[in-house]
Amino acid sequence: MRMALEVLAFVLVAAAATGVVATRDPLPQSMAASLFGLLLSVLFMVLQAPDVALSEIVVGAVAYPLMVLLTVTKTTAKGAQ
Amino acid sequence: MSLLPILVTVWLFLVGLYGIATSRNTIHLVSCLFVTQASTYVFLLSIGFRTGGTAPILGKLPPGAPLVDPVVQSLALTDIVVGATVSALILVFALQAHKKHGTSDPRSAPPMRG
Amino acid sequence: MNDSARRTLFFFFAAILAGALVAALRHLPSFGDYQGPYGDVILSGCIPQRHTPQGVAAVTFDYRGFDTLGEEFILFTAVAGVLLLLRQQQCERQEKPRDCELGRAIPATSSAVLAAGLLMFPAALLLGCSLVLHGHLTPGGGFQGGVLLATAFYFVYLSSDYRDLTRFTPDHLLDYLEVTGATTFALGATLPLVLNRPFMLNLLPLGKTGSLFSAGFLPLFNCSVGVEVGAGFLLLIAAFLKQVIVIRRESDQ
Repeated sequence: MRMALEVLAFVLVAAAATGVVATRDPLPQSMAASLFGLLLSVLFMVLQAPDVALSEIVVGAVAYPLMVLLTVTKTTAKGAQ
Repeated sequence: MSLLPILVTVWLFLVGLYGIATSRNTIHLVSCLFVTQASTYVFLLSIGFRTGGTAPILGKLPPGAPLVDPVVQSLALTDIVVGATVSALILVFALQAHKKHGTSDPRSAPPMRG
Repeated sequence: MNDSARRTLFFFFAAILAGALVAALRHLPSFGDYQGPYGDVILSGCIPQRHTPQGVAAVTFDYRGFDTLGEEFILFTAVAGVLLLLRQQQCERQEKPRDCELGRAIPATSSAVLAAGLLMFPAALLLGCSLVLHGHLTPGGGFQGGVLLATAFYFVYLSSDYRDLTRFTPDHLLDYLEVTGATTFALGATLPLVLNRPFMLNLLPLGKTGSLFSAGFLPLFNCSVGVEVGAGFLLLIAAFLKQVIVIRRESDQ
């Protein structure tokens, strides 16, 4: 059971990473990156690293996508130039 | 099972590199770098893992209970936060390049001069 | 170089790199069978020597605190670089704060978002403070708690507007907080040198294991890093947000 969980977490992370790279438009990509961060933190939780999981959740799932989102808005929205 | 963490590490590293090599948008490129960077965390944590071990927080654990390695976790946790600020710096470079040249394509912008 | 040539070249070298990496990493101890002694030495020593049950925090802020000090200054420099690059340029000016749409109209703040923001702001703030303050007892610490504290303030932006956010987080105060956090850590680490003792030696009393005031310098360093990371991320995101909402190119209009 435990091993199935580990395998599942690893496979999901690999799949999400492929998704992040394959999403070419940066706006949906920021959401894919957020999901990737969330899945990474689940993997870190499974690997018994709560500190790292917390770190990844606040950075990967919240702070980093937020910064990407703001950069995308600045570069693409007409009113923001 | 023993090979899976290594395969996932190598996959994350290479898929991120692929994104960087073929990217047509600097913001997309930074997110691919984010994926490449994550491969090191997966690698470090899967190295320090012990089957049946618990998180390295002692508290009320019986003595002799297997614990996973705290050193690799400490390496990864600081780097995630510091890496995010460095990613922010690269995003700003992308933003400034867009302001200057009006394009986010790393291949069409002329090389930057200092 | 065209796209397909670029891909072919990449796949050729990536295959070599992948083969080399897998061949090299295959001979590491198998997954779940780590034998490294360093972690065990620290785990058996961190309660008697440092009076903290949190092995990761003991490594981060004490046994390998020197590395963390370096990492912290990488963060400091990166934040400084972002602020330097995103300051107002000569060809730009500041306008009245205005949200920008990305291909759709901006909806007015609904009462549901407002209520969620009002609930989440204090909750996130409290959780962030708790993570920082209990960093030497439970999972968490200055780095994680600091980022959480910074993101908590964006509930103010979500449920109100940009002007309220800037009133809550004045830039000059954040500058002071960031510098204070960074210098507290650096000075605390070098203080023992002045007293002719080893670098980063615990000078504060170690206290009772498991209480809030224990483990010597650990909670102090956690708080200083928490303040620095929190202020640093607030400054970072505020600089991006300012680009979107306030700063416009001069030639427009």
